[in-house]
Amino acid sequence: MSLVLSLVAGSFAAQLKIKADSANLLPDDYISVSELNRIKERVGGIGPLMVIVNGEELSACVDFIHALADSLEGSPLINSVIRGRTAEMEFLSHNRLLYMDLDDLSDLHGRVADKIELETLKKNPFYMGFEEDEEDPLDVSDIEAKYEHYELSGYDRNYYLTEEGNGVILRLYPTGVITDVKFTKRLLALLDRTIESLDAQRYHPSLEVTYKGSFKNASTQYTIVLQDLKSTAMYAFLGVLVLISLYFRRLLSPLFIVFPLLMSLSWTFGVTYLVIGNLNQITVCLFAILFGLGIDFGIHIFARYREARRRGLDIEQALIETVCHTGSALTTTALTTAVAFFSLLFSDFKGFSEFGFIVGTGILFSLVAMVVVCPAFIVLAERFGLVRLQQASVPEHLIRRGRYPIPHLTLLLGILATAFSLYHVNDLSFEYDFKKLKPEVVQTGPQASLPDKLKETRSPAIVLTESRAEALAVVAEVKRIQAERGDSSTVLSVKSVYSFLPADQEQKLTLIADLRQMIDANLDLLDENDRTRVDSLRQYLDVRILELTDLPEDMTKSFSSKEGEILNFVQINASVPLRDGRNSINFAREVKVIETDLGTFYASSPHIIFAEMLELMLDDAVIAVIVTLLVVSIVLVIDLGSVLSAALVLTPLLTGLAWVTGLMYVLDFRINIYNMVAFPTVIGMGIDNAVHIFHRYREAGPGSLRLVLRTTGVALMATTLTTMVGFAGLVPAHHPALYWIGTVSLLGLGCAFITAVTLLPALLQLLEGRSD
Amino acid sequence: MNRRVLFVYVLAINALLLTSARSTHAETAESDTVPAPTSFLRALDTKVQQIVRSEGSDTLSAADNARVRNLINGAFDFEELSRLSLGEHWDGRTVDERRDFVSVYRGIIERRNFDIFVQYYREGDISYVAEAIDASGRARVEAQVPMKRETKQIVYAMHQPQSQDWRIFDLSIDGASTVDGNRRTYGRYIARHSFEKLLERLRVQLTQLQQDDR
Repeated sequence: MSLVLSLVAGSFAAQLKIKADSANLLPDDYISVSELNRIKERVGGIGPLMVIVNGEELSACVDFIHALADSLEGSPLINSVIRGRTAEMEFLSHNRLLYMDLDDLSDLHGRVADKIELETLKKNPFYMGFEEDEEDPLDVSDIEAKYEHYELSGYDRNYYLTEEGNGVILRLYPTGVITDVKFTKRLLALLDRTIESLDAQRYHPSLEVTYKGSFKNASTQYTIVLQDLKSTAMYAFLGVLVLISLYFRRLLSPLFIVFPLLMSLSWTFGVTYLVIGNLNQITVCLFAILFGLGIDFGIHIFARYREARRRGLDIEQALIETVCHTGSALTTTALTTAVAFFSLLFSDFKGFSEFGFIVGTGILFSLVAMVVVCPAFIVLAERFGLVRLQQASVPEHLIRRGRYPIPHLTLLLGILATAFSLYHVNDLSFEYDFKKLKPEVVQTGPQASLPDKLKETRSPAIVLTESRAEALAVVAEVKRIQAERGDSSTVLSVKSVYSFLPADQEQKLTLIADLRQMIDANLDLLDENDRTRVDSLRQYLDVRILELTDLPEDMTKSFSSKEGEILNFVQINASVPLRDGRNSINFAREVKVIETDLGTFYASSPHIIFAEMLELMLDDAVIAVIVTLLVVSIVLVIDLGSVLSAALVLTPLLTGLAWVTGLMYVLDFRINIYNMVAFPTVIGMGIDNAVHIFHRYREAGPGSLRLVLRTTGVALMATTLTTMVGFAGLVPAHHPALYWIGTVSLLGLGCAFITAVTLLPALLQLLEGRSD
Repeated sequence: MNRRVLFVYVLAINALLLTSARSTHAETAESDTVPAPTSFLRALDTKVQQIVRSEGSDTLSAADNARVRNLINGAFDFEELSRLSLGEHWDGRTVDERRDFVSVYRGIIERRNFDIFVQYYREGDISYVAEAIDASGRARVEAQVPMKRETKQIVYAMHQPQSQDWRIFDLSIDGASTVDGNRRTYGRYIARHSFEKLLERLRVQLTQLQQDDR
């Protein structure tokens, strides 16, 4: 039955999707998340996929860019290929007077008028000017300097170069969306193949090609999470197998435990598929964690069974004792832990809620598998003579009782360590640097930074609007907010596609027409030198009102849908580095909700999502710890039937948590949104040790603490080690989420174990002495 | 003096002459009382025109040039022209400084070369197109001088100082006002240097012109 159930559940589990995007840690009904999903659906990715070709010879880079663009144009995966900015520069250059600030154009108009007036006055004998002392009105070098970007020359005029000037950037606008993992993989594969076939070294031996942009980042993130999923599972699986083989000193014993556990994992992830449908960047590590966690039940069951058989009980008696005593304790601990994890369901942060659901479910299924399926395996193995557990005489260490030897010293050391930890708890700082919370991508090839103009377009907040009026209203409102906040504003710029059209066109065209008329009518007043200067201006006077359709594709592409249609959305760029979470929170607060006369609009971006996640996490983390502790306490009081007993069992856990903060302080760790997940996890799992010790002590009676530690304590060491091996599998992960959950959980599990086998027995010994 | 500098000036004077010639009769009829500003200008045109036409060439003899200059200068109120040209700086000057400034300014104007007058007077045919006198008694007379390539727009600002005859205190050609131009130039110069330096600078200019005359 279990096998059939496992096969069915496994078929569901195999369909689980992995969502590596941080946005998947927030509920879909969050406006920022739904808006980001709408943006991705409509726009594709935020920003293009940028191919950077570096080399010692820019001419070779340019040749390669053109060859690559020729090869990629027409691909169904790519909507458009932007080689450079020739068309944009020519357009801006031709319409430079329209793109000037109105004030500057008025200034220019005024200077030409001044020149003509001066020349007119010079012919008036009653005018007495000192021309040699005067500024030349036609000297417009200051205005020219302000708009010198229209006068770029060389490669800089026609191409986007890297900040270092050592490479050329090709921009690709894909036809698919960034969330489509298959599409992104196909796109990058196409790019890899094309680049390989073109053989960059043929153009120049120094040529190197790298990709940047959100498509590349999404793909890298997904690849890293997938790699981590496999590697963490593998580490955990092998580590646990080795550990329990060593513990039981039997090669086959792991199989009695591992098979039922694998079945329970199949059930767990099958249910996860049916309820949630996917794993996120935090829950992706749960195979490793649940493997380490679930194996504990098996170890306890098998250890107790082996102990019973060694004491001379037959198979049936041994199973009855195992299931009745250990099974009962396991049920209590499993329920406690599961309820603790289920209590995380209250949180909107999926790093908590989905994590809590899957772990809680996994623990219950593991318990069922170990209490029901594992004994069946053991019986079969004994019947077929695969294992031989019965001994002629009971080992002396399994019956020798004794007191806990050093209760006072243990408590003193425990109090000192706890005092140190609590004293420094406020010194723990929070990690606001998002860059440290993202997978580190190893930079290959030479240093090649994107120019500011392209960087700006990489991670803007987007506001979807449906019409020109709405886009203009949003832009106006954000500008109003920006002006109102002054220097404290986090907004650098806000624009829609209409922002590429010159402002105040009608006023400017009136000025330009007047300028043209003024120059034409007064050319006779000017000498040859002035005429030459005025002629250079006249070429820009032949302009007309510009519409969206007049703009070159280079300019409007970043505002186009994946089908190439120009869209009415608004981009808001931040003036502060958004990698700092505090900046992101401030930016999100400033632009997230935009109220206009035409309605309310919402901005979203990965940074806004991250900011919301951060705020949510900061709010929910403390609540999660309190709720988990509360639930654990209630279950303990019900299970143990006494508040004092529950307090005793809770003491080592709370002390262990305090020690974790002390160790984090000593190791200079910062609290972050990922390792905060570890705290409720440690509460849920760490309580088990104390529950087992307490149950066994109650069962064995006063004067049995040495026996308890020798039997249950050693078993707990094995279970804690297996659990820790599961978490240790996360430490080599590339994704900081997994690394931090793994590292802090390891600290927590270690501390919870040490306090359970030292402080709790010490306390029990002292209480025992008092009652004597 | 630069011949081109006189171009527009000549146009203006030309306009005076031509109009004056056509309205001699009216002028005579009005001669008993103070003439209207336009009539004053026409009378001046007539007098200058007689001198210019008496010459066969494009340039005037030294004697005729001096007569034309005297006629023109006589039509201007240099004190008002100076006052307005100095703008806000006039009020801060002493009586002596003001007198010095007017004297130097007038001296320079009186020595400007009017040779080019004749050349352009033959091209133009001035017509007075509008006259307006405001409540304070200040007049604005608009005239047009059609030239070969364009028509020049001339505006005279006039008044009657101490109940005398009309006098010109500003002359605008194609919108460029003499007073405004001077005021900007002098204002900038005084801001950068001082009034004393400006006066000194004008004196140097006058001395130069006096030396040229000799």
